Amino acid sequence: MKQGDTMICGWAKDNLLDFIDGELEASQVLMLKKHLEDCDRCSHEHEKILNAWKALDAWEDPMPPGHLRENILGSIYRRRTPQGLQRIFSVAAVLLIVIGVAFFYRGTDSKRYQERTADNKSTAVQLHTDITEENENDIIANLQLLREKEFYDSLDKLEKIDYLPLVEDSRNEDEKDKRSSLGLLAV
Amino acid sequence: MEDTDIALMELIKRGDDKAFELLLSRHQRSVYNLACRFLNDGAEAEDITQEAFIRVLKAAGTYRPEAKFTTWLYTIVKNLCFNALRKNRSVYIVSAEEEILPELPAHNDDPSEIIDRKRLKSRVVSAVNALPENMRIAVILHKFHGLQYNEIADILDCSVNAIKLRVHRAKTVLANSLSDFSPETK
Repeated sequence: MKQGDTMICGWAKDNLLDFIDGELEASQVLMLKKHLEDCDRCSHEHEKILNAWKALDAWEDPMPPGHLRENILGSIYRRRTPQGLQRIFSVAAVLLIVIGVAFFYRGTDSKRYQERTADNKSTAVQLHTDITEENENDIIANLQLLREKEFYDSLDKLEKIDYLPLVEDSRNEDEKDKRSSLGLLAV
Repeated sequence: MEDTDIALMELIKRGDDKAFELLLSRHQRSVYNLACRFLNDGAEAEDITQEAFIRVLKAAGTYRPEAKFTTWLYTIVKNLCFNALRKNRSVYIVSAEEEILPELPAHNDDPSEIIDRKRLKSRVVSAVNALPENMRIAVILHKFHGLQYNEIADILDCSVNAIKLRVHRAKTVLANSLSDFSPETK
């Protein structure tokens, strides 16, 4: 059994995988090749790695089942259609909710309006019946009295006024100005 | 290939179903292979392949060809695989591959050869599955998908050196677990 330089063995072991990968420089490649020829142990290690790596070739490519392609395309096209429909359904659902809410509020508002108008109507009818049946003449008479009272009150107010503001004649103003300018008014 | 993938993605972005079907035809096998090898579960790999392409379609609108298309695609698959692993952590993953997809022997195959090949394959699968997850996915991408360290680094979101180290360690581990294998035994 050939025994190479043990100093180089350490270096060879460290660089064996780079050597297999083809990543060593030319000079290093020559040195390692020479060492592998001289050293059985390193040469065996080298072969072991190469053989194991080659053994992996026994693991052939697993063949995908024939239905895989159809399954993939099927699932994609299936997904696509429901997604489109889902979008349409979601938009339709939102619209329905909005319309529903609008109708609901409109309905309650009109209900309230109807209730209110019904109340008002009944009150009006009540008043109307009261007025027509019993107090119509009284109200008319009272209205007449009220009008008369307002008239007399206005008269009282006029009588209580002590004086009415005087509106001076503009011609008198002009004369006053003339006099003051001539010093006639200065006393 | 890469250019046409990007061109297909542009067409998919505009709603071209045929372009998507073409992209699916091109990559469904590699996506399925990656998921199936990593999880060692054919049924799960089918689900992941399906989900990966659904995500591709969904993300087509925002896709930017900054990296290779396959790097982007494998990143999606990797994320789905890790999610599936986390989800099924407590569940024992049954290797259904042998049962679901039995390899039909060619008529001229020697039965003893078939048995040897199956035995070897079984050992290889066990050895790879025994690797830690991060190491395993790096090995699968490097060995079976022919990706360079820098591409794997992009997919796994780590440095090139880290990937190189993982693959080197994996090679050492595999060399020990498959130490009695020689090309002649195949």
